[in-house]
Amino acid sequence: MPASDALEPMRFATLMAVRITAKPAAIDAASWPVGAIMVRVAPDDALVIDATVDDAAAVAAVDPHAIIEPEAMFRGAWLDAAQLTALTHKLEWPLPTARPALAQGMVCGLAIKLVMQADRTLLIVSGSALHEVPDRLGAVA
Amino acid sequence: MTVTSQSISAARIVVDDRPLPYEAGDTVADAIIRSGQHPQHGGTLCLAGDCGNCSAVVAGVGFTRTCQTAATPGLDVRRHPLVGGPPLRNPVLADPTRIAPPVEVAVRRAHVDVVVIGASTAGRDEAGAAAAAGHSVLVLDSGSGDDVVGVYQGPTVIVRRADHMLHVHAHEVVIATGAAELHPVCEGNMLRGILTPDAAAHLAARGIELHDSVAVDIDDLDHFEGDDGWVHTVVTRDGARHACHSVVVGSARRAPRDLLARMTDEPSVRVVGSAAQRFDLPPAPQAGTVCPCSKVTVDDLDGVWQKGFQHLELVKRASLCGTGTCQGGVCMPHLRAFVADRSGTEPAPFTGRPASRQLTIAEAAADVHLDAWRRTALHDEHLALGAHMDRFGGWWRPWNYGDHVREYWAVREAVSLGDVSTLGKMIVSGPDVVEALERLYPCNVADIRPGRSRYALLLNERGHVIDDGMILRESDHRFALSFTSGGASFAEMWVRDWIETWGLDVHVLDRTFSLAAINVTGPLAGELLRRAGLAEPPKMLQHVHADVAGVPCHVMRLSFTGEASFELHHLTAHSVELWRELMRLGADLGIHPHGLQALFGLRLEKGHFLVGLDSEMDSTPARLGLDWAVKMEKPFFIGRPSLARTASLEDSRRLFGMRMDGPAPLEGAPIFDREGGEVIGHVATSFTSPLLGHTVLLGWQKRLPFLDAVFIDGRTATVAPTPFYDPEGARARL
Repeated sequence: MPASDALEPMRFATLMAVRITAKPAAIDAASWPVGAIMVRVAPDDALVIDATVDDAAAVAAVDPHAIIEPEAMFRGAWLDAAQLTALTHKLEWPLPTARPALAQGMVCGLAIKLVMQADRTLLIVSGSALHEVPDRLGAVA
Repeated sequence: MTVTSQSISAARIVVDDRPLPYEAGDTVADAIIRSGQHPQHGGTLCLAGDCGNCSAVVAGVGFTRTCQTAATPGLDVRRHPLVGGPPLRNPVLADPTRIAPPVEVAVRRAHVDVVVIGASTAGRDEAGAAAAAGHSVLVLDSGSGDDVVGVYQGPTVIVRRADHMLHVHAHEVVIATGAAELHPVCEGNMLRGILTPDAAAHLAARGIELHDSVAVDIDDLDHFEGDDGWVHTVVTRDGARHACHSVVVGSARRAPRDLLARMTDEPSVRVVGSAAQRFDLPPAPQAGTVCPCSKVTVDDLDGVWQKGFQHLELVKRASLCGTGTCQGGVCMPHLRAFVADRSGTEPAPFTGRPASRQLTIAEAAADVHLDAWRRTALHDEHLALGAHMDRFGGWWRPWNYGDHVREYWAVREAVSLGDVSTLGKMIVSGPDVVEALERLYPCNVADIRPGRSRYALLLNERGHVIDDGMILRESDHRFALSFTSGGASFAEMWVRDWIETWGLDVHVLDRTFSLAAINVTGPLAGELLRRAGLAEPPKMLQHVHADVAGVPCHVMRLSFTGEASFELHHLTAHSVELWRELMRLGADLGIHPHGLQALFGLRLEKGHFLVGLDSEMDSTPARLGLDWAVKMEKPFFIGRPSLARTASLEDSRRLFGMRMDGPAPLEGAPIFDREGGEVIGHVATSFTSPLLGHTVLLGWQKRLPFLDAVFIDGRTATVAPTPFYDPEGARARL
């Protein structure tokens, strides 16, 4: 990986979020606080960063069987364009070109999610595997 | 071959320990030929990378094609032995004090629409057309240093470059590698001094002059003669003899250079140009070496043919023709001609396999990663407490904290903490959730009341136990489920797949990584929880949501250790503070954490089996002595039809509890029917119980009639009912 020394190190922080499994329409019906990031992992599965269980009341109103739980297992680091380019060299799958977008899959044996915004990307990894990031994605940092 | 050097350069490679000068731009093969030698010990040279006749050990890597390797100052080159391959290097055996540091090879990746392999005319045309259509295109060519190793599923093209490996992920692969020249097959074709026309042209371009050279068409050729390993005469079919020091053998026919195409049947891989052309086969070989790589002669082919190997793939496997460095680059047309001549049918080419080029283990393993071994939120706490960590079920877990016996007694006589964060955890919710769980599990589910729980097996369609855990009812339509640490990932897929297959209205959320869990166990566990603010800990098999030491927890009362046990499931973010507070509050109670080593013994005293450790791939509940966990009166659950069919059959396998004096036998130790008798089973797990004063074990008997006494390690072991400890279960209900 060339020029890795010139990249800023990744700085991970615990993502405080709410995790929802519910009927898609129930998730669609919810609105989220300003600044919250909704990561739609699947049509019936959402991770809403910087939101709480209380913020998801609208989901439960539509789908009384929805599972709505606080979530603190993920760690996230914002990548700039150079870091994302460096990460691309480790991907076996192509990144979406449209923005915003969500990409998720295995990279160097780690399950990651990439929340891709116009000017930056949030790299999400499970806290249980965070210790492996330096060795496996070290050149990104 | 007589050669002259136009000039002597100061730069040198080292060939068989002797410095050898080379010219700027020389390959290793050029430099060796320039000195009047042959990179190997004979055989036609193509100098195009098609054959293996110039391969040598280069910088420690055997079977390297020297015609494709640039000469660089000091490059170490060793020719292969005349007989056999180059010796395998084992630096550890050679000098155990000098273990070479691991070699890490960088990997770069490229994602393109189209990758074209070969900058031939056809390749350039394809690249141009793809680019004009707006596609991203990458052209790989050996002339630019791209050594294409293989084409894999995806399709993915693996390329070896001077300082890194390139992994190309493409929508389409176009192979435009052209065609190769035919090598002559006749008596004397392994002599030195024989070249293809393109090789001769290459040498001429490099200023390496061939003296007394003869050119001959392959169809006119009869055989070569020589002495001291070098050709001196070419004999043509008309009987004419031509004295020479080198000979250039040409042919109007060529062979498709299609090894990469033969590696894959992916529809997104196309072969174009000469590589896709169907060339006429040469005449069937009559004598000489067909496969220079594996030194297979026409006589060898005849030998295997007469033994009945009368198919191209069989001839290849029986003779090893085509299994060498070039994988048919030289021998394929001649081998096919041989089979066509003998069978009357022209056979299709045989399959090619990566790697098409020699590469090192480091290059092959570059950027290959095993799945990560996970850490719980308490990992650093364990290390701080002196834990010896080991890998179990995909996680790093404490094996012990230095003294597993002390940990054992803390559980049996005081209170202990265990990190069970690794357990599989799941929430299921929905109007059809009871129906789903009744089908998934062999036990009754509908009668579990909210706030209660039940132990459950998970069976596959054959009725074999694949996992176990707890079913905890939270409300009419919501349950929490737990699974083993090692089985959690599979269990999640299993539950999701079946619910989707059945079309039931149930939400599933895996919480394995979201929740940590601490097992508070021991006769003083209840007291510790009261100190932590849980005034009324739940009764056996009950569960509540409550704050413990200020941390919101799902508190589950169950017992794997045989003592009162409470699993505290909580968000991972709170795990360290909860652990530390419990340790602080229990200090005067004799609290001490326990690792897996103690836990395995504690649960064995209770006769609890471990999925995968005590059970086998085809263990039914009956074989494990767990019939009580299966309710055959239910109309359906996964595995029920199989269990019903086999219920009346005699079964010769059973896991038994056993006890014996002396130290615990090793797991896997054979179980004999009598001293010096026959093996009838094996020890699954064993433990020398500090409390009971003897060894307890779970062991398989696999022969009828089942015996009450057996022999293990030369000692008698007797079958004993489980649990070995506290059979009434009073301790767990304290």
